[in-house]
Amino acid sequence: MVKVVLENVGKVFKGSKKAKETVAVKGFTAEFPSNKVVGILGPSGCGKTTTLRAIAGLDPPSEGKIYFEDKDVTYLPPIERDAALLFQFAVVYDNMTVFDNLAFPLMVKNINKEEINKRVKETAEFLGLSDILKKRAKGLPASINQKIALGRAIIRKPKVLLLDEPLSSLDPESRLYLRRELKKVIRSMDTTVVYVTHDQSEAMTLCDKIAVMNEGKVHQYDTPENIYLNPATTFVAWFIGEPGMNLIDCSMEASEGKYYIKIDGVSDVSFEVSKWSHALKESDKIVLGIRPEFITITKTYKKNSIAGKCLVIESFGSFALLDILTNCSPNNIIKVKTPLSDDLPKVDGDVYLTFPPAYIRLFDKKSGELRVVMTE
Amino acid sequence: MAKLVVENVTKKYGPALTLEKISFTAEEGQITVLLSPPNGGKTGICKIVAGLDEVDSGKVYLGDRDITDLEPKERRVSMMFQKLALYPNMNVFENIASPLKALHLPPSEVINQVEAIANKMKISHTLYRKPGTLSGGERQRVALSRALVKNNADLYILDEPLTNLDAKIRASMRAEFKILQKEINQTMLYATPDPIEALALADKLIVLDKGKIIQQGTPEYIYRNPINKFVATFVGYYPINLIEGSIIEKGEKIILQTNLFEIEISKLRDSVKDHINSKVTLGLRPELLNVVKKEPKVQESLDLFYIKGEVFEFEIRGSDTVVYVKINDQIIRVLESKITKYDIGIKVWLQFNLKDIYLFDAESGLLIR
Repeated sequence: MVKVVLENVGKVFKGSKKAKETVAVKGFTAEFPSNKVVGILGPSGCGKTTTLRAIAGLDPPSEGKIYFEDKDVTYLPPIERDAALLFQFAVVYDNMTVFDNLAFPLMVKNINKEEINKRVKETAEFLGLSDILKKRAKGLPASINQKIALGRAIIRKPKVLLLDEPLSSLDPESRLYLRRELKKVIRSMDTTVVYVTHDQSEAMTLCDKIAVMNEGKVHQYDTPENIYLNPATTFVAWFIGEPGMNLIDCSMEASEGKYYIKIDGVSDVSFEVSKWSHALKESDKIVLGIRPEFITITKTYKKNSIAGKCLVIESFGSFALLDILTNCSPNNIIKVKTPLSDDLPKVDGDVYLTFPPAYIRLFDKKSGELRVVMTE
Repeated sequence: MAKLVVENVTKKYGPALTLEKISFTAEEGQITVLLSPPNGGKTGICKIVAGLDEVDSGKVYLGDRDITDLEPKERRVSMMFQKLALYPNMNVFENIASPLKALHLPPSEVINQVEAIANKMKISHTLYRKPGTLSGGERQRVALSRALVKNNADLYILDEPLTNLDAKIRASMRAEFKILQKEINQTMLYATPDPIEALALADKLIVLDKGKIIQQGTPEYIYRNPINKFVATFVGYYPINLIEGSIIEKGEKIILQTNLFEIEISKLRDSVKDHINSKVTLGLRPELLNVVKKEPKVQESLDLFYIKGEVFEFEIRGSDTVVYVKINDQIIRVLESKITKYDIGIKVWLQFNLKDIYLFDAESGLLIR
């Protein structure tokens, strides 16, 4: 049982004649609690794999410290860390049997044969590999290969298990099943798991806490629910959710001692924010965030609603995603997710969008930071 | 812009894949999507239409031209394959302009065309940079722009154009692509392994497996009326739940009997009458099921069923939740289009509507209704 602590971790890749210097990670500070799953989530190039490699010891950080419990491991070689790493593409030794593949990490540690036999059997049973232990690994499907690689990572019972998109190279069906195996492993093992992925579903499902990264910076380190409901920045708001939050420019106006948020480019739509005006006073421009699934859409005019035209309808069996053209800025398209019904507008039809205030989030445009959750 | 007709095309690609008697039409100005699992034959069809592979037999027509034996450059098709193959030593502008060379347009026209498509694809700011300095998403946009730049092509072939992108960017590109397609109004042949992408984009959907066309039609039609279990499982937002059972007659009533439950389906008498006393597979789409936490009172209507089970697991996907409900020993997946949390192990009721059930012949796998 060890907690992993990152203290102001940064990584700069030095420039050369060919490439400019790049700051891959800056100021990553977080505590990953023991026996929990922490996700590092972000788009390609956000620095998540660099962070993971630093924790694994493959590539030490250029600044900051990494601790496993109280031990400074920043510059310790991988082999002395008791951390196992699982990659996106399974590394499996083709010419060895499944048994030998699983046993390999133990054999190199000079563990006696009996113990190896016992541990391989246990692990194989746990992952459902018992029937193919004697088979050669060559030609097995990708999902089995990834299971073998997972087995090899957990067989030596590492204190820290580092996973780098282990599911993303699999087809959806095997991904589902392997994800279930992985959950089982995580729950029953005494280990701290760090799970790196660009796929928010994986992160939201598997992780107790998630660090959302973009361009080398951690934008939010929080529980999945909070990341979804109260994103700390406009980036998180856009990135989390499928599709993410609509982000709409607006301004605060005062009238008769009360404060209102008005959506730029749209008249007759306003929300009273007197209660939170102090949090918004410093902001030059404000961004209103609302999730597509919380917007009410009607074909007839409603008070305080935004008029628009339906551009695209993507139907998903029980619900639909609609692209609505409005006068909002900076993006005039507002996405709406709504259950399928006979009342759904047609393409090119006129519609009206209503935002329930409890689901409105207000951000400072310049910094992108969350300022107001209107329910509070 | 022209109509594409593929007629009886057969082509052997080694032991793993043979395209067998492929026939379909891609209508003018529409997106026709080829959907199959990996190695199902979609890339082969794209290559044959593009002229990169020869047919063993069969014909390919574009408009009123028989293009079966024409060289790729004589076909007037524009294509983009999954591997992007941008010219690394050319900047973005030159990359996008490259298909225009053969047309000998005046320079001002080339600039107009390149800027127009770059604008639509939101990469105007990258025009004078080399592909190597761009992000993966930007490179994909450049490749798409090059494929879609107005170049007198009659047909645009896109083989998995979004597959290499991050999940997030892929979803937003998908909606953008749909708007873009409406704007440029061209005939497109679009291959993808992703059923969600296919359902969202296609005007016409062609489902392939192991080199054969299994079903073709509009996405709505295929989703509602999958010809067999394979299509029902593969083409959907999430894999369908399949439950083995049989149809029996009890007096006046027709009953669907499974290991998990029994329901009365007398209302479906007309469609199932030839299957009484035979084995069937019940299909329940996860997105058409509901989880109810409170015990239902009396049965509200004959068309609504409640089956008792317990929450085995749940997972959050984007803005949806997948709930795994355990009934006896089988796990049934339910997709809720909102984020909800469940305590593992609590009692719940699976709710579904008679009109939403699919029945397949257990042996042939063919749809009964």
